[in-house]
Amino acid sequence: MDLILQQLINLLSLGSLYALVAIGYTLVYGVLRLINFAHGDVLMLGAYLALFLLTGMHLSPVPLPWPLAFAGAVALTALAGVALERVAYRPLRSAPRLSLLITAIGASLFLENFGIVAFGGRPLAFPDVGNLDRVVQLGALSVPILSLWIPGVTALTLGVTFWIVYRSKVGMAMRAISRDRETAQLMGVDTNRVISLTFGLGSALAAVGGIMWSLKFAQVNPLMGVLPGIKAFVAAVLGGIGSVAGAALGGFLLGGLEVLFVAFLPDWSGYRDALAFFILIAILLLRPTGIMGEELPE
Amino acid sequence: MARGGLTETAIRLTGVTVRFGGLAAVSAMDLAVGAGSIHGLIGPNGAGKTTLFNAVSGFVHRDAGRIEILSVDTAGRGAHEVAALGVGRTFQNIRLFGELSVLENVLIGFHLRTRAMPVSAILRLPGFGRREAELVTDARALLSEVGLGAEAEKPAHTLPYGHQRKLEIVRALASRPKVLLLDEPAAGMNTREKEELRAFLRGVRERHNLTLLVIEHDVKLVLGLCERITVMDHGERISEGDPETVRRDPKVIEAYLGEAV
Amino acid sequence: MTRPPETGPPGRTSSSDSGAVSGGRVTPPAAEAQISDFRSQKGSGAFVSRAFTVVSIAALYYLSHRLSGTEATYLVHVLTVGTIYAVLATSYNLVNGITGQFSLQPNAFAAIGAYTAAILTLSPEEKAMTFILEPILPPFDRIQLPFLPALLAGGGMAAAFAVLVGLPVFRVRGDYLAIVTLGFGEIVRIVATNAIGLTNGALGLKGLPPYTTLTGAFVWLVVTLVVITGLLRSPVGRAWRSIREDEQAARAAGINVFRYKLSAFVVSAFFQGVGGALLAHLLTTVDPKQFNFFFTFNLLIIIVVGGLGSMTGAVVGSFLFAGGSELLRVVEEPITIAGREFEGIPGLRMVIFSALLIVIMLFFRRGLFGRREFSWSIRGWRGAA
Repeated sequence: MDLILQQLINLLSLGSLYALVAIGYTLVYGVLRLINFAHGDVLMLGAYLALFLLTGMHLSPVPLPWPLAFAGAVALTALAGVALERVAYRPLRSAPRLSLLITAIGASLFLENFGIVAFGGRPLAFPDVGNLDRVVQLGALSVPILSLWIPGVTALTLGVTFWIVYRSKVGMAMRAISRDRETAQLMGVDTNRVISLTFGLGSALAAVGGIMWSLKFAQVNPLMGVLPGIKAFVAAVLGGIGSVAGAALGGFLLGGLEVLFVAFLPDWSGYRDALAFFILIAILLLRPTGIMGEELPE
Repeated sequence: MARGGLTETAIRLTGVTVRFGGLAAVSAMDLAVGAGSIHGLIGPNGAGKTTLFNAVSGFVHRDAGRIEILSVDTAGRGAHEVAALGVGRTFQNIRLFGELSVLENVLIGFHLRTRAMPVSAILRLPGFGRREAELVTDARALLSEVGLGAEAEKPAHTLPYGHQRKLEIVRALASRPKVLLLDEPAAGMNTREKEELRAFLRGVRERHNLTLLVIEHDVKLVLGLCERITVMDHGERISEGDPETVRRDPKVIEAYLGEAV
Repeated sequence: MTRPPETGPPGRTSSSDSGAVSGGRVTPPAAEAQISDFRSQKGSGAFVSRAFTVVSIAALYYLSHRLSGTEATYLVHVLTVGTIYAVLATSYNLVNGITGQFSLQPNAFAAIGAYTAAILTLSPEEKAMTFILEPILPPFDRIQLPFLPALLAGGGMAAAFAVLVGLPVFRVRGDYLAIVTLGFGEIVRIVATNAIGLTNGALGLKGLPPYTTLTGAFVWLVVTLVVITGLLRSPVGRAWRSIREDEQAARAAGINVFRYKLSAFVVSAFFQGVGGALLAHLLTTVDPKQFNFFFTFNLLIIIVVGGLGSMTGAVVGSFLFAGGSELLRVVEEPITIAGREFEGIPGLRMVIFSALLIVIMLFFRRGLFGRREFSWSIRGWRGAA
């Protein structure tokens, strides 16, 4: 029983992180039909920005209290995402898709290597804030309070995101562009603005994910976004690319499958990171539109 | 010309339905196109004409019904397999291999009648070179036939609009189809070009022994070109007959209300 | 822009390329093929240009042979690396530049080829010494093959995996190809680290026989180019290019898009397997980190700089890269300028390369060669627009 509860808590925190990052992929894919390879690296950027604001390195003259530092990092990362689209992707919007994808890979590698040069290749320690590693008793189980915080913050963030995507005017425009960009444009949607906002929202979510990731593993490094990036993409495909609710669902599903894999096949835990890939292949074979996705027009 | 006379059917649709999401773009369509005929398909915007084309040519999957081409059921066949049955097509918004030369566009059109012969190609065997030279000769002949002979080496996207439309038809002809589906071949043409197109299509039909199914917005052109016309609206057939009958059908006039007939 | 070499024989009336189809056969002008990208050419011009090609290959072969025996070991090493890159880049270009499918495959297939060949060429004694964590799985503990069969096995294994990966991806949607190949590269790395009985885990395989020579690499580059250009001038190549230009129109022309995408992917994987095996037997080691994503990224830069779709560009880009990245080493090493010592900045090379890639895509999308190909005749230089 405790084992199950323990695994459930693992699932919730891992799934939360995948879900937050997966939404960014799905949003951008929706409006641009682009796999934004740099998305995982935007997560890394968010984590470093949070670290710098927290400790008063580089960016801030004084260490900031954590709520301020985290909010600042999320906002700055959102701006960075908007800038990325503006500089690297927008000029290529009418170019062949191959060019856009190559640029996205270039942007990804640029961020990673810029990280190595500017922040150093070695991992940096990420401080514990607000006693989040304090342990609480849940029945017979001792759980670090962070493991409860992560699903909580994720739930809140997802709530806001869903509201933006499914209820607000901007969200409606996003969904309209993702159905048919030309028609949306004809109907007076300012596509440039909406695409910028989409990158901003996606990057902010990645930053939230990145900060929680860093708190969980207590360190940051310039390549920390690569693996979560690939996996979150798989989560987005699993849930049905283009669907925001699907991405969230896919994130929790993938997190769950990984937790189960490690729990039941501990000898194979070295292959845990390979699981996502086989899931991706399986979806492509069995249900290419994912769980909640629909056939997108070409 | 048409073997077995006009009673033979080249394309037969029975109860064909295509849905997108919950919406039926084509619902329970019946259609019979006689072999050797020029058959028109008209209807207001969004009537489901192009979707019907896509279903016939294997580009979209049908949700119900039966499509037979030259008496072969196309169920479960992909677009390239339907093409191999002898169906050529063009697209509403011209799809050429833009950066490749005009000649190469036609050579790709020959795909169905060439064997790949990768080994002879790699070893540069003489037989392969001869065969390629024959293809080039044929392609040039086809281009000359339609007056594009002088533009063979140009990249396809540099051709003027009318020539691009023509090239797309030539490319479709290159695969020696028995049935040719043309999606708005006259779009963007002026009156004189339309007149030329009409003569061209009639000539093509005779020379290549074809059945033509044509979607066209220009009702005047359709009435002058086609022997039989089917009118669609809201995914359904609302009228069918020879040009005169269709022109007088009140249901057609109603569907086109607001548009000039 | 690089100018074409002006060595074409005078008085010829039409373009040709290196190694035209039917040597010396005179046919009427009407049958003159002018297939852009790769042109077939008839008549005496073809014979002459084919002769040029054969002579220059022979000359380069002799030169590579002579160089291998000299003191210029550093130069030979850089040239050999450049030649192997050219094998990898031209085959990578087949998928990305010719067929137009964005793939991030080379590191995965090069690693598969390298490991396969290395396991086969290592002597049983060497294996017994290397596999200290776990003994190597039988029957590989006893097998030892010469280089050529090992190379072919490496290429064949890569091609077999390409079929396995390509089947699901190309059947549904090609736009996941990039992420699937990216993920597959990770899988290969993970398996190489964990399947200790086969790969010796993180320690890797050391002490491979140094079979790869400049001459050997050169011969493989010629084989790669002969096969790929041969295919490109055939209906297969036309089908590949048609998919790049417009997939829907290709289907309407009766082209089995799935099959042609898969065939380009598999042919490409074969040569990348060979290329990886060549590289392993040049460096005499293989380990899981060697074929990381940066490996693929380097090749992507090469084909983008050369011009996506141009095999000439891929070859030139490979040597530029091999040379250029040696030169750029400077920025990562400490240097002394005017008596003051500046520390090198590790990783700066990759920053420069990735920025370069973005800049090329934004401003010089055609790279050095666009889609043009080298040809002995000046007029043949045009290529496709």
